Amino acid sequence: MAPSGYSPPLADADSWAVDQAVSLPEVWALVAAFRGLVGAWRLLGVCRAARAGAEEFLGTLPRLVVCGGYVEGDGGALSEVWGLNLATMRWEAMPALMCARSHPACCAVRGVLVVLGGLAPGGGTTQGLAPTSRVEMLSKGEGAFVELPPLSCGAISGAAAIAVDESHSALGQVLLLGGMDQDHTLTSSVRLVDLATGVCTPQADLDTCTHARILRRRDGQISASPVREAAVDRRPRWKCGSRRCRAR
Amino acid sequence: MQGTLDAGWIWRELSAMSVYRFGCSGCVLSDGRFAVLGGCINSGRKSSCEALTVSGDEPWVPLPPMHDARTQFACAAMAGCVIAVGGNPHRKLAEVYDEVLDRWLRLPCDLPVNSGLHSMGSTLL
Repeated sequence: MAPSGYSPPLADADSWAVDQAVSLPEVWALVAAFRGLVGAWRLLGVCRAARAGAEEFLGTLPRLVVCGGYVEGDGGALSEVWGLNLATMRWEAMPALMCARSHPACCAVRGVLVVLGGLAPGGGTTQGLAPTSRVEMLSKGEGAFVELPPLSCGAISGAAAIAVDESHSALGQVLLLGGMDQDHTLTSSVRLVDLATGVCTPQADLDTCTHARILRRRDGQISASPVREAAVDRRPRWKCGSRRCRAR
Repeated sequence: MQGTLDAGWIWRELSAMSVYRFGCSGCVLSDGRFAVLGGCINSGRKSSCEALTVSGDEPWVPLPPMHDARTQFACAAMAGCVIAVGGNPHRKLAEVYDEVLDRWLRLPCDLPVNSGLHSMGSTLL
């Protein structure tokens, strides 16, 4: 019978290996990636190596950027842009929009933040705001937004934006889906916007403004669009401009 | 299935959500399901959420509700989680849904806007 407290050499080796492994931030970075965002945050308090590994993983995640928007009361439409650093859980101020606006379409194209349309101060019927066709972008490391050519299709607000993965345009392209046009009519239009020129090329329209929609390319790639407002089967809040809606 | 122009995009109608929503947000979960969160339902702001498997004919499946009812807010999915922040009414609070835990947790990072913020653009960068 082995004496109390005796450990065979093999177990010693295993224990040594485990100790070595858990002291490596690289190992904890893998654990963090496996556990996801919340799991990684929880690893921050486990030990020094776990914290370093979790921070390494969290540092690879993109920031959640919010731009513009509307503040009730005297605030109105904002030009502020904020980025949530997921490693520190702090909002960091980013360069402000050139044009304050609410309800903009927003997406990242080739690592560049692009903001399209929205409701901007300057008249209109919605709390002193009017739809705008202005487009601006913020490149990584730049201290200010740059104005791009306006949307050739005119002003639009509340559209959904999806960056299109392609390489033959100078600044990239964005798919704009739905939204409200200049006269506050819900639109079913889908446009492919060339950011370098502002030219909007019509695509297959949404057939109504109801239901969730998913874009599926023929190559099998699927992209989701935010759910549009229902304006057909319920009492409409706005006039809907889709072909199906006009036919009813 | 609807016809299309020659741009290569096809619209396909999906199952209707379990309820009518206005001002909700959407994102794609790590398993490929399309989730919709919050919004106004029958004139009241709601915290309810649901998800759809896009490739099949299954109905929408409920997800746990957010802590806060909100409309016109920002949301994004990354690393097995969904972050929701701001929105009406006067929200500056943030919360996160963990897909493995299947629950919402409050986040200690309110939007740095005193009166709350809604109708903002949002993206991951």
